[in-house]
Amino acid sequence: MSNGPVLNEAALRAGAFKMTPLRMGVMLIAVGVYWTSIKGTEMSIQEFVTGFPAIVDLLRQMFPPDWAYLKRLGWPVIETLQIGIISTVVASILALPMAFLAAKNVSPHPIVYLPVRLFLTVCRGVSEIIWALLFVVAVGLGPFAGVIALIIYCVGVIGKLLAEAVEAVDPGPLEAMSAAGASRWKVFLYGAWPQVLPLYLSYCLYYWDHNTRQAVVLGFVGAGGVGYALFFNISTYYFEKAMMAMIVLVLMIVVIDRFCLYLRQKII
Amino acid sequence: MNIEADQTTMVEVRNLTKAYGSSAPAIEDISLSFKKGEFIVLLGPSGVGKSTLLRCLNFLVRPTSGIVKINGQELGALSKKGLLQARHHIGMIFQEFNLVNRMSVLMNVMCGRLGTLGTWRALTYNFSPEDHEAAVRALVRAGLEDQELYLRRADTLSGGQKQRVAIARMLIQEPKVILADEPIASLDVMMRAQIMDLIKDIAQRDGLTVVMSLHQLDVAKNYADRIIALAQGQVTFDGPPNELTDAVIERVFNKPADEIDEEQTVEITEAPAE
Amino acid sequence: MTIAVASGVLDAVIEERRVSRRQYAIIGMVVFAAALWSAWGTEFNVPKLMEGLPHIYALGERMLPPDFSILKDLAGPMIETLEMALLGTTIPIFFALPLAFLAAVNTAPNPLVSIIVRLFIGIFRTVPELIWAMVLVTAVGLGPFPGVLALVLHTIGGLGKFYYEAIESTDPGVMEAMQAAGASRFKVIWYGVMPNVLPVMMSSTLFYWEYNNRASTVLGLVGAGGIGLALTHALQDFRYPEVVTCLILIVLILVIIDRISAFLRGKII
Repeated sequence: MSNGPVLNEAALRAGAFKMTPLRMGVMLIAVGVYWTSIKGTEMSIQEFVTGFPAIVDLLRQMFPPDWAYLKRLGWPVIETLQIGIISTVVASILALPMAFLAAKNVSPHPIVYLPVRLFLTVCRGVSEIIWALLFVVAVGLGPFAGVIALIIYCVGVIGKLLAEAVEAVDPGPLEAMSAAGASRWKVFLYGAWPQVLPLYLSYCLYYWDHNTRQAVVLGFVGAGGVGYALFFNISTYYFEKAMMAMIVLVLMIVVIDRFCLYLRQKII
Repeated sequence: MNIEADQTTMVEVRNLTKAYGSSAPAIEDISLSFKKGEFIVLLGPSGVGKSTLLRCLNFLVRPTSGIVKINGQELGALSKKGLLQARHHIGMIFQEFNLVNRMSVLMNVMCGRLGTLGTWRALTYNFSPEDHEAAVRALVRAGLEDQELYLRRADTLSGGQKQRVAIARMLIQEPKVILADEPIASLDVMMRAQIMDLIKDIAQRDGLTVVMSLHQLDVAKNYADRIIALAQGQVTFDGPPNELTDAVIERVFNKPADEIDEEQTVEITEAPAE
Repeated sequence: MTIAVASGVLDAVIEERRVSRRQYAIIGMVVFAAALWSAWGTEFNVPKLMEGLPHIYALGERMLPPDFSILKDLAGPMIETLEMALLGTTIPIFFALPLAFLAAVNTAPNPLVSIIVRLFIGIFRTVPELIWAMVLVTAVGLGPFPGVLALVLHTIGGLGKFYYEAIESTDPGVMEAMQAAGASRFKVIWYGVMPNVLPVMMSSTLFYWEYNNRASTVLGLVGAGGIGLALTHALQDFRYPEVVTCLILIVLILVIIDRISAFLRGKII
């Protein structure tokens, strides 16, 4: 700073963007992918413009919302909430042993740990709606199929996240407790569990929120709740009622979102 | 120092070897014996097997071959349960303190009693009032008189305070032997003397054997009754501090003695042997 | 040597542990009660589970072995799904970015704009993409196009929120320094805010790319194209071995996407 800066022009230029053949190739490929995507999905401004009046028309039909329909939404809302609660509680209990079997540092043996990982991957590999679709075929319409679908997906996700949390545990306290003569399970309970617990609780809360949202959507495939009310009213062109259901649904999701945020702040 | 206590052998190691996998052994064919009340410092730069030797003394690391006897008990011959009971009387402190950050100071100290805690109490995190009282005594003895601190989370404390909590956790075990793995390496210079004085004081009052790994030459000379220097997994020097001449130091640290000052040794941190 | 222990402190400690244990017990009981109530309401119980298991087993039996002969017919719909996700993630960036700057309290022209924009972002995000798809299919007809629009709408909301939170977390000092140097509002945003928030934005966009790939596999259920449509058709016609082939393909593709995303994220950070 004292002697006055010496500009190294070569270094400055090297830092600037340079068109290399590789970059050129990547850009060409990107443009190609976009072009085929736009063609492939039949996207066109024209179609959007011609479709736009239809969207506006739909919106007009949705207003004003049918307020009288409100009182008949009470029970579906409760059912959606119940689906969210029971699936989260059951999934978070089932995910616990799965996570410990899937975590490299506490799993008894690779023979256990690999299949459990694979199982968790499959559980979360398919989204809960597809699971619900399958279970509706197997066990019939109703919330039961939805609950099972949410549980399966949720075990997959919480199990994986928790396994990662267990793997990230600081080994120092575990060593100290072993050195003090604590047995394996005591070391785990006092050394590892306090480190994992806050993460576990926050995942459970997050997925409670998530499951309640998904419970709405599961109504589309016949798993009950507000989602079904919405689906039914749209497919039968009762748009004012659909709008009412939509409003209730958004409110419900916002309230739960806030509540979860509040609880999570209490934990951490 | 207690003359009468000097006679009993507290720790005995014979032909101890530990190799990780197929690589060259971390320690090889070490035979040593420590008396009751002796303050022993294992000296040497990082990676010479100090950590491994220390962890072989309570079987946190199972030696490949050789015998370890603590207070006349051969650790290798003990059952799983017997080993846990033996460990209960061997205290250990660490460079990184190894406290559970999210637990209170008091809970951390009481974890020293896990070896004797009943199953139901352990499951419900319910230590007895006696354990609480013992924890408070241990904390006071470790120099944490401020009872405001006891319910605070461990990660809110300073480094020196954390090491005092770790010392309290060790004290509550009522140990006969203290193993200390670089206990002052993560502390600032002011704290180091205080913690060393504390350990020395506890060891002298209770007549405990201390085995401590260190890489700070000056600290080792000030506090040790006996210094054991390691290089390439073997003992290269074993004797009182005044016999540790510059020639020996050069051999141990692989550089002239006057170049080993505080600044250089501070940077060396012992990587845990893996 | 004895050390006096202030017994008051000790009693207080033990009492506090007792109270907190009781609190945990109460929370546990509340959760348990809520679970019971929900199990009752959704008829989720052991008899029902026992009753359902043979049916699930029977369905599984009819699904196996998977019919891999249709794999080449699925390539088209699968590619369509990936295309929908790509467009559904990249198009919203151009809308979410300006909206985020209007919504973030430290860059919004005035608080009222911020509140209104946030409201819109919130609505876009709260309504699930499948509901958007359904509404749009009703408006513009079947096909992948309403699927893309649905993803776009939902993602504008999702990315918008991530973006404005990132913007709000930037260091006010940097912006102040630029304002002091006489930079215009646009320049403050471009040179003071963007460099700080770019990594967060890129990683949240990647997150939504992953999310949209997953979401676009199900949009077909409401007629919005992609592999979901093939799956629904197979399911409606009871061609269960084909259903399994679809599922295997979906899982495989999503795992690959996860890997790519993790790789790209590693490059960013």
